[in-house]
Amino acid sequence: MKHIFWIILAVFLLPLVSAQSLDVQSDSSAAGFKRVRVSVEIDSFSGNGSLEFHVSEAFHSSVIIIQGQAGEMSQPLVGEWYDDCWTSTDLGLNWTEIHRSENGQAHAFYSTPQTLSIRCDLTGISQSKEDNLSVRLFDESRELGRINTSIIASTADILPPPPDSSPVIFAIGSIALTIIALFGYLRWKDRKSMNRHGLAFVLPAFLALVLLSFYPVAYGMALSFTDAHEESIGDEEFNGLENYLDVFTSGGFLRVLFFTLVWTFTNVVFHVGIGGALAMLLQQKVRGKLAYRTLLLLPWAIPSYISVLVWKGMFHPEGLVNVLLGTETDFFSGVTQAQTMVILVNIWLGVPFMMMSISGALQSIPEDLHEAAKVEGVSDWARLRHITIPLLKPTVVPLALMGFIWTFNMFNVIFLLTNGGPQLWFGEPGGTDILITYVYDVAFVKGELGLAAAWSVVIFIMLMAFSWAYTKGSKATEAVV
Amino acid sequence: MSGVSFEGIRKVYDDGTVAVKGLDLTVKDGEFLVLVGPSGCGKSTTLRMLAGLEDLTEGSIKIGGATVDHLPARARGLGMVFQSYALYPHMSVQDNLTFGLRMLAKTERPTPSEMKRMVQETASMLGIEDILEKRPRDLSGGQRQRVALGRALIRKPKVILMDEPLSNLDAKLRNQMRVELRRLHDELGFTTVYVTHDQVEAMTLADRIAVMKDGELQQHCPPLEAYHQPANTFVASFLGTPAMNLIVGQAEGGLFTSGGLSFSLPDHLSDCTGMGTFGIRPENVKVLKSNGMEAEIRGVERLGSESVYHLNIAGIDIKALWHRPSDEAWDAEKGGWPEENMYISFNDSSALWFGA
Amino acid sequence: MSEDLAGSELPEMDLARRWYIPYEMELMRRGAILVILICIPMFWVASLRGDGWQSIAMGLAGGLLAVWALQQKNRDLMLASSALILLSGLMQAFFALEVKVAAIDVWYSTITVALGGGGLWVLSSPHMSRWLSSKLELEEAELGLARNHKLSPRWKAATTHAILLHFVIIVLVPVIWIIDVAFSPGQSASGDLGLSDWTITHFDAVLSGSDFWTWGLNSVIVSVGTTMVGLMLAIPAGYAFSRYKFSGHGIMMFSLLLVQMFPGIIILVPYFMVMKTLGLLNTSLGLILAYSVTALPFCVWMLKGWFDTIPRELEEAAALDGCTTFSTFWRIIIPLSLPAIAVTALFSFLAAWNEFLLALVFNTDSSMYTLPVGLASYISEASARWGDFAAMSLIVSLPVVLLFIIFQKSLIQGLSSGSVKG
Repeated sequence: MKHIFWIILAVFLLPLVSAQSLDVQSDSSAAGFKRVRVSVEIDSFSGNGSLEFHVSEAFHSSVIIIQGQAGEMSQPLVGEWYDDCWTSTDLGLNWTEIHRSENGQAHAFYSTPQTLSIRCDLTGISQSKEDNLSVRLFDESRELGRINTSIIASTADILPPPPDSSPVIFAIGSIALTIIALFGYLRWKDRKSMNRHGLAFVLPAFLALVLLSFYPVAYGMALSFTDAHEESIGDEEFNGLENYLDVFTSGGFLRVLFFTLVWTFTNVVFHVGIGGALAMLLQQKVRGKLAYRTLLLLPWAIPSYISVLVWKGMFHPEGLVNVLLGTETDFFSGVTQAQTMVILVNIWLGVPFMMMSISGALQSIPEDLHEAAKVEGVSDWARLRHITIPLLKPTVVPLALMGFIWTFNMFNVIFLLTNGGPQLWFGEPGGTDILITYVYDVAFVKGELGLAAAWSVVIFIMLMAFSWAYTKGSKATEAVV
Repeated sequence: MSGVSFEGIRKVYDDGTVAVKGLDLTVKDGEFLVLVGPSGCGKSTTLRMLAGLEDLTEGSIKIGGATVDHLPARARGLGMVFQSYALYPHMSVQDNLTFGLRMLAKTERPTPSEMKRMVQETASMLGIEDILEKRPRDLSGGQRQRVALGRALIRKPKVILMDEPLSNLDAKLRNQMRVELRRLHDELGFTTVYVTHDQVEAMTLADRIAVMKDGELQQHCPPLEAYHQPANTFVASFLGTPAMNLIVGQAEGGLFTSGGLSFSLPDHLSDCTGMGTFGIRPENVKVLKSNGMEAEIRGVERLGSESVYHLNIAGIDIKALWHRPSDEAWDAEKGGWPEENMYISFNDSSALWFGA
Repeated sequence: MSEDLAGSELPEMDLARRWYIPYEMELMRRGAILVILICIPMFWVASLRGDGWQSIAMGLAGGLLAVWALQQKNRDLMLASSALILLSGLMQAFFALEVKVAAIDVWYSTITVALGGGGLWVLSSPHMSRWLSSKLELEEAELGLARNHKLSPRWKAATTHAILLHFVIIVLVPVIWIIDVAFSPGQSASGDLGLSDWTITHFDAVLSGSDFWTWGLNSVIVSVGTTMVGLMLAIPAGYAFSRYKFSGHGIMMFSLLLVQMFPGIIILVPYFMVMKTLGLLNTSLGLILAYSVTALPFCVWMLKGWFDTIPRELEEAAALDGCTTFSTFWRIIIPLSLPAIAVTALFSFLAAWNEFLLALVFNTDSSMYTLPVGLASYISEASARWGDFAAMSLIVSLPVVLLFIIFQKSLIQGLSSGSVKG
């Protein structure tokens, strides 16, 4: 009887026992700049499988585990690939470099079921805020176990040597001297007129402008032709149009561009539409107009990063929005859903400013124009269409352009709400990434500064082209009207 | 049928100010009525109530016999010329003229060729054919005024309202337009309700004037009647330049006394008694070489065709207007007459007495 | 005669009848549009729930039918559409009672029941039926006009209030929530709003901890520094552009405009590299320099605009009295310009105070965070400290919001004139 009991117990406990136990430890200090060393101990593994690392809800890298021999696969040197990985079969006393196939996929080989340890130095880990790390173990068919923890890279780390500042100082100095000389020339040119005094007043501002605006822009353009990287500042080499090629051929280019345009247009349309409607409502004789106006200003007055994070909290699966709607959705899990939500939040942010601007424009339309139209027998709707809206156009058209540029570059909303997620495509922009948030990723998460500069230039040219076309187009319609 | 009637019109604003206090007025079919008075007298408010741009607090307005009290402005079929012209800045002159027509329902709208004809007709009537394509900002004040007028006239309304339409023009243009306005009115035969603070416009344009003060109607009659037989001292002093001389004093047995001044009343006023105001217009003050009341000359304004003497009798300021009656008188003036004093008489049949 | 368009075919007497439309018609039109509009978010909610779309569909159908029926002035159809709308509201209420009553169901049902019921009630009046079948007497029409006149403004005001209230609620809900989170114990972002367990522990933690003061000091240094540098550069420049037409005047103005158009993105990467090279990362100076230049064009525009309004005669008089250019500027122009300078300073300060992206990139060391970046760091994927975040947010936002509201007019004027003129 006793034996049967133990057998039955064993049968029940077997799955438990044979469930893989996974132990994960992370170490920020040992690995290097923006790297975290993660050590994983796997108990009693058998057969083949894989170990996956997910950082910030996005797939980061993986190691394939094979019971058997390495064969022809090579063992690269430390530093030859992005993530250096090692395996150990003696609980971490000795580590050997992991093998990599031709395409760089890491493979860990072992021979007998025992404690297998895998250690990887994960790159691209943020130094400023904690990210969550999910380590998942799979066998050939299913997930065997996972462990979630948080990691952060240390800042006081093996930084690359501070770059040589002399070229920059030289550039700044020579530019400054050139500008001063230019001003000297202009002053000489104006020596006979009173106007020369103005130059001295303008010099500091203009100097600041050139040094801190034009110079960086030019520098940025120059950077876009190099392979600059965050870890090797000062070592950049000219690499021609390679970055630009990268930009245009990268997998998500069209997708992120498309969403950026959708994002921008939808936002501006609703900003102007809702803002205009509210402005007109506030134009009428209502009591408490001032109170309404002040309250409706709040989204503009509250710092945007605070509002966005507040909305993020409210959209939590157990948050206020779900409570009010009687649902339990994770609003940011699906791509379209997440896109809708970010747009809605930005509309909330941007309407007050439009409302106030259009309100001002509405008030500047002389009252007797409306009265003349009324006496002429024009209905209220016709009056809105033929008098009010045409007279608002001179204000709204440039305002919309401003709104377009402002929304196009609206970093805070997307970064703080979804960080560009959901990240369904590895190495590419995420579901709600717009150009500017993706550039941030490229520049400061991946560290590819040259490539990011190229992206910036492309975005800049697109914006300039659009502004020029828009201004031309709006002037043309103005002439017709 | 396009007469207008105001019955018991009263307008009180939200803050309690009473702009119009019980106005009763009728405008005959085809008449040119001028509402005149100082600013704040309620004339513009009355006009706007007629237009439907202001609410009536009490009373009723009828246009052509139909009550329009609560009809919205656009239902009343009126034409209006605003003080600032209120031309639509984003439309050409032609579009300004045809805007009201274009906004009519399809069934009532004139055909494009009809509209073109109407534009031509109105434009040639007002002399604006050659500026039809221009925008309001490119027009002079006078041109804008004509366009505003054209816009009001093009739909051939029965009643046209004008709110100080000439006040933004310079003097010469104003005189010109006055004549033209009257001519158009006579030619086309619409009823006009015209508001102004300028009594000259009122006198020259109106078939009848309605003088208003502080929201009340003072007198409603043809201009000359108001001029020669003003109903009260306000109307008396309001019409005519220089203003009528008004002396407050006591009448007793054909004698008028005011302070140190005393003179016999003209025959037609000899029966007046009690406190009151004696009125005589400067042009009716008789200027005599001798034999009259002695008045000190305080100042003279010589305008060429006439001279205005600022006189003072016994502490009371009087003005006398002396038209150049003859060359002999002109020579006398050139010769330095009069010197310090002048002799005048108030014995004129036009003198008025206003009881207290 | 056919040109007489002031209604001559009909006798003048019928003006009232011709033009009278009971104000209820307009109200019903607005009501129908409102119903259609609120069905859109309700459909979305139904899709999230995966259920309950039938009642919404009924409401939508009712709304569309109502619009068409009002156009046609068909009384039966109008009754039908009102009934549909009413039923939709009732159905939704029953559905919610069965499953779970959420705030949005209450909202939807209240509006649809009120509008549907109201529509039925209005349509049942004999006056309406007579008007709809054009059998109205003249006197009745005139009375109707008078009634319109009195009641219509009140109803219109009521609908305006209703619409505005909706927007105000949408604006205030986040504010109310964050206040609740700030005062509720715990660090979670739950949707329960409860007054009963309010406490000030979060405020305590924030104010006694070092984070707030460190970050606050950083923000103050950066913002004040930006304002001062910005003003020192912009005031003389604005004055010069206003008063003097020196060589290069046009080009320099144009370049100011151009810089304003540069999106932040184009300077982000090179700025980073330059700052890093010069060792200005994780310092206040780096941010001050970056912010000053971003704010510069706007400040110059605002101040130039202001200086343009000061008559030159003042300076000419001063010159006649023996003042040099500089002392005129210092003793006369500046004191006169204090309001404009104050507004410009306020704008620069607020822009620097609220800036997020550059601060995020430049100052990655948590001891050099500015308030925006620091606050945001409280909310990360791994651990979100909502309570502390809420408390700090309130402390940080309150002065900013007050400043904004007090100076809203000037800020908007400045913003729109400065950039629109370009």
